[in-house]
Amino acid sequence: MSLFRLRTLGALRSLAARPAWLVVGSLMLLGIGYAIFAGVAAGVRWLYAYPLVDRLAPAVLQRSLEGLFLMLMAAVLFSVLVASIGILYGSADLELLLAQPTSRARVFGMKVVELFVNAAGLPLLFTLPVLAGIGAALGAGAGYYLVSALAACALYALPVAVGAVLALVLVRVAPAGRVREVATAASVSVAAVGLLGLRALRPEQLFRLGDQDADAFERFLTSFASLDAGWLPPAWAANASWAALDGRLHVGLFVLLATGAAGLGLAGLLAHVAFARGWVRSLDASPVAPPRRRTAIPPWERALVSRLGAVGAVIAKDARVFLRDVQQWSQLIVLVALAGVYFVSLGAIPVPTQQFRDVLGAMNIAFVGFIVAGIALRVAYPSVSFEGGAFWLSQVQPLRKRSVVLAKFLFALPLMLMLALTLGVVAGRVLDTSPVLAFGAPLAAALGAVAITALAVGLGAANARFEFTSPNELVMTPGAFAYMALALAYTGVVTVLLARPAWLVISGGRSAAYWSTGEGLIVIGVLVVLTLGTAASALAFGIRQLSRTEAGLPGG
Amino acid sequence: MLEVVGLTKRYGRNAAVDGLDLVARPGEVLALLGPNGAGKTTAIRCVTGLIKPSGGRILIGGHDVEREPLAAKTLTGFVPDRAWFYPKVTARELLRYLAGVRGLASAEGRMEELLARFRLTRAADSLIETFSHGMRQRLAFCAALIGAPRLFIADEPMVGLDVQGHRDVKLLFRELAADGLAVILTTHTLAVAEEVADRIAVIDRGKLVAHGTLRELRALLNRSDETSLEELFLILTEAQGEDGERALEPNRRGRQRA
Repeated sequence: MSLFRLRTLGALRSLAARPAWLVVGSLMLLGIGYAIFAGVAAGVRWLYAYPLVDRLAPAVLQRSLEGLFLMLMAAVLFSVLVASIGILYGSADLELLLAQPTSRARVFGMKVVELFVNAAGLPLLFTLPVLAGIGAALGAGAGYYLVSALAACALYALPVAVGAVLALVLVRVAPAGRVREVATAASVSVAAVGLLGLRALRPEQLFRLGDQDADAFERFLTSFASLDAGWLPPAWAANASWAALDGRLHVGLFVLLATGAAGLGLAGLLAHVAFARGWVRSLDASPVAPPRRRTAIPPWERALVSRLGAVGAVIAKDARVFLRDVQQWSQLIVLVALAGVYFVSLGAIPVPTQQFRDVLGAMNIAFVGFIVAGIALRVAYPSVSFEGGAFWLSQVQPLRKRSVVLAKFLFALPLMLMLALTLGVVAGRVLDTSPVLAFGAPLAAALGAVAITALAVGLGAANARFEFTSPNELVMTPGAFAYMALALAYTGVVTVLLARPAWLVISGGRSAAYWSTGEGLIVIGVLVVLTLGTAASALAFGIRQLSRTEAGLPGG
Repeated sequence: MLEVVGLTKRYGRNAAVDGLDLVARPGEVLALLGPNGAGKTTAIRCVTGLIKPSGGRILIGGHDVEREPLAAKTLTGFVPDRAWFYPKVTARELLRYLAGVRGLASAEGRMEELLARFRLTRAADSLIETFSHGMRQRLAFCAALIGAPRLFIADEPMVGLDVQGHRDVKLLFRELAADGLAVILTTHTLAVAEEVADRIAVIDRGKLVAHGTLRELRALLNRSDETSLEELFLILTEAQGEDGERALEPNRRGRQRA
């Protein structure tokens, strides 16, 4: 049996082992894919029908596609560094495979394919419906779909190759035993820089243009359409796709295919040579650290345990691990970068009237929910899985699964509450919204933090994976998609509930006293009930599913 | 202390443990032996609550593991064959965590005693990620004993231990039994079982095939007093044909409760 068949068989059996999740995950993926496809197709048709820009539409669309490619390339680069260390150098099966009478080139060829699927699979799944939507709206032939898909694959092969080469540098120079930690820190830095880079594009420029300034809008689109970044790989992919719309083959496609294949080939070759020459020694060595100073039980730990018992003990342990584990605390860097970018962007949007400020204030409620959901995905969702190989220890103690899940929730909640409240309060001040929204937004943000954190911890517990090499693996699973869908649905419902008070404010019908009226109190009551119901259901689901988990001892 | 009645654990159509009956009494060491895949580890994991049985009943100190898991686990200490811990906490912090989880008000004295006993005092404030395999295994003993259990279970405890560690563990088993604990160990090192066990239970294909003291096993198979446990073990486990039919008279007797 070939290596490829063996791995495919293993993957299929893993999927078949959880048929219900497979069906739910596939349906969800198809649903999301269709929504992207339909949304892009509708957007393209609208753009082509817009009277001012019909002649600019192709160029605007092409530049937008380049932007999307660039963003997703950065996303691939973000995840590939840690993944390549785990897959190319740290796979458990690598030594076994290399000990077999099979060529090393085949082994590392398979590992590079595995790395590509792992790092670029999800961005590719997101890109394909976008490309299909464009093709469907513009009546493209079959050749377009093939060429654009090939171009996207080749494009994402480039960051995979770059990440693999950087990984080799890391396993050579990083301190012994710290390779994965350094790689995680580097990946998170890439993400933070990416966020700041997006900010540098000054997206608020779009808000500076309205119907009253049609000339300026056209000037903006003209300059946007004429942006020349032909030397960048995303432009090669966009040009190749665009030429295929007209049934032509663009030279960019061949350049991309050649560089993509060469890059992946180089990555495999380097991994092969590095492994053969023992260059990856820093993976094996044990980190040598001086013993810590012996301390008595710190008062905060004593207080937690005496007041919360077993739950407090788990929280104290999690606090220590969080602060010492770069894979966990480094997520805060993204959090801070994201929040900073959000505030700066809000402050940069010109808001001439109170009415407009309140419109943005109302939209802010949905944005805060979205940001909190995204951050909880990286901080709270993996919290049970972070138990890792040590989960057996919890299982053999007189410790309820309820206590474990509750402790994870209580540990993540203050962080998420602080973030949500900051976003809600500061955004209200930056925008100088009316008092009704100035109270409503932080209220929704705080309640949202409770519900979304519970959803993240609950669904993370229900889908716990104790054997992982990088937190990135945990957030790209059917369970994580289900969590995001539910968190966004909750945010949507809250936004709809607050739409009426927001509308009353925008239309000038209500004063600050709204929240003390009967209607205001009912809205608050419904929000609280919705939040507590969502939180309790999510945590109960997580506890029930975790209680059925038989994982615990790795390799057992 | 431990009573296992008709324990069954199925994975699909395969029974890893098939109607196992077992008893471990206070003050004695029971060695659970069997070839690879016999179901020893699966049985142990059912007893410790790591996996759920498909059938049967497990009582620890009279508490049903399924119905009263907290009470049963409070009485149990477990050392796995490969001990994984949180890499970013120190040994001392880990033991404090376990004491907190178990609701032990003052465990500092016991903790220091265990760290000294297992030669970990000097490394107690180092992160566990810096520990060797043997140190982790010794820490697993500390972790299992911090709650002062009445039932002590060790699954292949000798793996990764040095000569001194082997000796310490053998002495420990006898001391624990002398203190009135029920001790169960699974091992492939038959010399260790022969040396420390009061009773021996041999399981194969998920079923108990023989049990008793070494003398009783010899008598069961009509062997002389010079016959080693290794020879007895091979006779017992090779006696089953590939078709699963049992060929020896003792096997029928082995289905009775140990």
